[in-house]
Amino acid sequence: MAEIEFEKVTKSFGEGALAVDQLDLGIKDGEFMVLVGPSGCGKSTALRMVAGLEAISDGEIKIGGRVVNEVPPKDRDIAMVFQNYALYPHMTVYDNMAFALKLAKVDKGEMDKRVKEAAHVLGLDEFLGRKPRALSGGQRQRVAMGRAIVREPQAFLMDEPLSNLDAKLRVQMRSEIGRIQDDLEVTTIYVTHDQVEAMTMGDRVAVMRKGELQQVGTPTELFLTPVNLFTAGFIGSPSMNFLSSKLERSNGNYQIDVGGQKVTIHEKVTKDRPELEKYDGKEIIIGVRPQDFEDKSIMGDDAPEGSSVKAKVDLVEVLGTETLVHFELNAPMVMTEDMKELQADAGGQDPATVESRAEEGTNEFVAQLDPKSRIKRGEEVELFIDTRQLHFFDIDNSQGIYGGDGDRAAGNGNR
Amino acid sequence: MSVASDARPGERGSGDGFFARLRGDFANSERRTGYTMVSPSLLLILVIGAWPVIYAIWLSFQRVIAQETSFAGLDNYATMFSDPRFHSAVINTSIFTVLSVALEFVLGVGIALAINRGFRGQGATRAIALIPWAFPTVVSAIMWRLMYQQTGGIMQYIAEKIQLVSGPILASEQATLFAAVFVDVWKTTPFVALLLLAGLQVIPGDVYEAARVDGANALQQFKSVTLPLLKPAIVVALLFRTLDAWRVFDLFWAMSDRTVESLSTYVFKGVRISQTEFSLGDAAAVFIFVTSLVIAAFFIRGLGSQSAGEG
Amino acid sequence: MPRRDFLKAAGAGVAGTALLGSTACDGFTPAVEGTSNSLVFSFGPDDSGVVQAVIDMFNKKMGGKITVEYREMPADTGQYFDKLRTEFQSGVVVNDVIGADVIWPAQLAANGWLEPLDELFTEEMQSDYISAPLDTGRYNDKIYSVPWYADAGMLYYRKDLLDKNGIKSPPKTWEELYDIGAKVAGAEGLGYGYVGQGAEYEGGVCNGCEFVWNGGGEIQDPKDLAKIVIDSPEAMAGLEAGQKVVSSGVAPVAFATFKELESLTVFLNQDAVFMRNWPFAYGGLADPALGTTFDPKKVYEQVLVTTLPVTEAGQENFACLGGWTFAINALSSKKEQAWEFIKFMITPEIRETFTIDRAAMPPERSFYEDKKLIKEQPLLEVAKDAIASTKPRPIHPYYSDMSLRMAESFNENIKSEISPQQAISTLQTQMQRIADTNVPNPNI
Repeated sequence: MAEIEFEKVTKSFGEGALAVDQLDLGIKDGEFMVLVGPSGCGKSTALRMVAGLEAISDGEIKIGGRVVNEVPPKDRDIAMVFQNYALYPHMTVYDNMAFALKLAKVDKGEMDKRVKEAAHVLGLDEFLGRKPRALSGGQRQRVAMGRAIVREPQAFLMDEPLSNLDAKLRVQMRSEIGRIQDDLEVTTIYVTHDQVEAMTMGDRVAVMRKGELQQVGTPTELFLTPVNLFTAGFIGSPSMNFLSSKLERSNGNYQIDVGGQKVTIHEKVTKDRPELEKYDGKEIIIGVRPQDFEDKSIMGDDAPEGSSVKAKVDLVEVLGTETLVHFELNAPMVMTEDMKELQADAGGQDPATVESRAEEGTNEFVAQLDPKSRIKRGEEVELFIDTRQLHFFDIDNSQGIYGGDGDRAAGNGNR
Repeated sequence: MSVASDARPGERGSGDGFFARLRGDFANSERRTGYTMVSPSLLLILVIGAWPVIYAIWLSFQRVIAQETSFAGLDNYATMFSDPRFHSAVINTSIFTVLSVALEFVLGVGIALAINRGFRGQGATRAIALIPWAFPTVVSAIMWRLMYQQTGGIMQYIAEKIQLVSGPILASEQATLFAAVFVDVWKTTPFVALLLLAGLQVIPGDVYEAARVDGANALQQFKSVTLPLLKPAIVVALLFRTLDAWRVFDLFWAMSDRTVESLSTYVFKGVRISQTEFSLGDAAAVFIFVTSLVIAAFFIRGLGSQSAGEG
Repeated sequence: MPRRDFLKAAGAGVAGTALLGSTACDGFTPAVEGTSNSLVFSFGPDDSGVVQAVIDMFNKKMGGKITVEYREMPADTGQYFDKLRTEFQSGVVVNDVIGADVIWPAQLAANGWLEPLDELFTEEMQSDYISAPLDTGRYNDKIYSVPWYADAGMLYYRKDLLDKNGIKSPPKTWEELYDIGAKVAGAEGLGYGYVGQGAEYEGGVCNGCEFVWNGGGEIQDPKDLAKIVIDSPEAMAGLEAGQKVVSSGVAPVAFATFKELESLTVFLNQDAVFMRNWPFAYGGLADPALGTTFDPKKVYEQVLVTTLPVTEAGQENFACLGGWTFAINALSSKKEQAWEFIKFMITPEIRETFTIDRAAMPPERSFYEDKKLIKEQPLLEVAKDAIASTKPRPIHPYYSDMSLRMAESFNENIKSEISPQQAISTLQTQMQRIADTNVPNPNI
């Protein structure tokens, strides 16, 4: 058991951009830390530097207080689970799991005990004599886990271990890995590009982009107080809706223009985000989570005035537990570079479409409504917006606008 | 996978035997069409492949002098097995095969590992390494014969300088045999290396990373990961090389100038030069054929069975 | 044409033919059985161009009545013979006249592939011929070939060095040769006393036969060619002399790998006192293309030629017969025309052309007395004694088999891997078995 610390860790591959740029991150003993980000964000490289599979260009990595920059992988006392499992194809499940122990010259009886225990925990008892190719994807995944478990290492390093499984298995293994980590209380770094995985598994989540750490925090913190446009867009599903509007004051409250319809912002927001004042009368980016829309027709009378928009429904996806509604508004997005990249990275809507829509002055929105809603495609609908939950971003630097207490997210473990 | 084994169980005949399966296949019209379609090629293979072999085997039980043929039973084989020249052919060929294949394998593994590390100019190195292999054997045999010559032969000079030999290499059958091994190693190691390199390149890199994390040092990685995973390529390389070496002809014929007998030169002398020993040469050819089959079976069964599972 | 130039041309030509192996695979030459008056003459490549020139002369003279086409066969005689045999076995007539090595007629005739020439090549015509080339054409009391030109093993020696060391005449016996060779080589700082051909090939067989014959032995009983008589004290003495050439240190150990060119190279490098070689080497002495280190202006005073030594003084000496003959394909439909061509090829004028332009030694005695011709081709006088002392290798339908065995045993004898006693007894058994193998019916 040990904590793992990144101190200004940098990785460069020859010329060009840095794969990891001055990463500062501390993982507590027994913590489950998820590194998440789009492909190429440096999360895997960061993990591989911990494993010792990549050299560290600059900075220091400490495991249990010991600087491991020059320590070979085998002496770091870590275990790794690979994306493609990296099982030894010519060895049985038993031998795969026992390999590291054999190399470490662990006593035979002890080795047998550990392998069998791990196999039992993972439900692999009856497969110990099989070779990997005779196993299903999920079973191989378990063997890869088992191989890590028997080592009883200081830390688990997992590199997108579930990405090769089908959706159902992935959900199942997600909880299983979580359970095992909980039981063993081993410090774990888990790399994934899937923000759902990150949010459901991590004690804390570190969002990375282009080699730079964006934000570290608990899933809730990330969801509620994203420090910038990127984290806001990357975390959450469906993705946050963005539009740009001038921030205007009317009757003491701020108002924004959403496709020609005035939306009044709740005064709590103004209070929480003193910085907003600086943007009075200026163009800003506003983020609305799909969850913060609701079908006004099913809400009754308790919906505050002036916080709803009318829209024509383009598409309705009834998921049972919720209903997703796609609609278009003439509330264009200012396509900053960050915005474009975010669209590409987040893998949501096609960036080209978003851009052309922006040029036409329109923008597509997604709302996640209560399943009681009976909205049909093509209908005109009035959607309530929970303006207490709106997010605001500076149009120039894409940073979230908080100020005061609201700024706490940015201070959390970051820089 | 054979066609038959793909059949769904229900379509098969009652038994598991070959004929039962065949009958089952013929009951299925799609399969019948399949067999009909491949039959011309099968026939062609039989005619150009199997027939000459069968004919050669038949001839080995005949006595052929000029154009006259009479049944000889096992006489040719008896004569062959008691012929001292055949004995030396077997011994020479065996020594040559074992030594050259062993050296080529060891060096080939080393070179393959080195090239596999990846470096600038890897492609060019690979191409250059293959040049000796691309030479026709006769050409390289004659080229090396010149280098082994006593007068002005660089290899003879070097061998004398390092006191490997005291007399002319080519005047001693043993020295010539080892010289032939050397030439074969020079010529074919790159080929072995490339075969093994192809095998190395399909080993996923993350398996090595897993081994590194699991605590394996370089040697342990080689022993526990590379070798077992390279086995299919090793089997192919060893099989190719052993069969090639076992049939060595031109290297011996041209480089030793027929003084060192190999199985194939024994065959050639009997079949193409002699007018009275055609049958003897033919029997030796059958001997090569049968022993080659045994060698192939040894490699495929002995070494292949364990690796077959790795796919 | 100045003498040096044609000697050079001849030397290069024969040397090219002597280079074995590499020029193997020529493609299949389609049968040239064109019009009824065209003949096909098969022969190896001729770098000198004389053969084609002479054929052109013949075609011109015939004025279209007979046209000869030159079909080039492999340069390596072993491959040439193999190809010839394969063609005969297939039964397709692809040639009418064959330029045949002296060791082939019996082998081809035994299969019925050659036309007997007794009626055409009359005894009268044969009267001037040296006996050895004629004998090679005889099989079962019939003659199957007409000698074209002859080769003989000769001893080349460094007259200048012998003189310098007070040796008046070249050695008559092998013992003398060892002594002189060792002494002169030592005194002059030459590598070796003697070089020749000891490799396992046909030339090695020739060298070996010469050792046997010059020891007084025989391989084949001259009275009964089916009888092998190599197991004799004389033959053993001959092979002892052969082994001693190397074991005494007079010849290099690499002698066992030497062919014509290797031995010539050493001699041209002025690294040997004596050399056994064929007449072609004479032209090569002054040939810079072959790497001679001699001064071309002086070499023919420095190097002289004599007959090969014998084991005991006073014995008759022999030289192995080489060379080529003409034969007619028994299956040819144009035998008359074929004979016309052969007759033309052996007319004195054409013989002289070959003698002068190709340094080919004629098989008839009279040419060696022709002062005018000798002036144009001095090699005639030089090779005269050697040619006169020629003896054919065993004449037998299965000579190829005998040659294989002799090549092996003679080579092993040179290398001292077997004793001369073992060599003769092994050869006696093996060759007698070959000689006893039933010969196919020649009336196929």
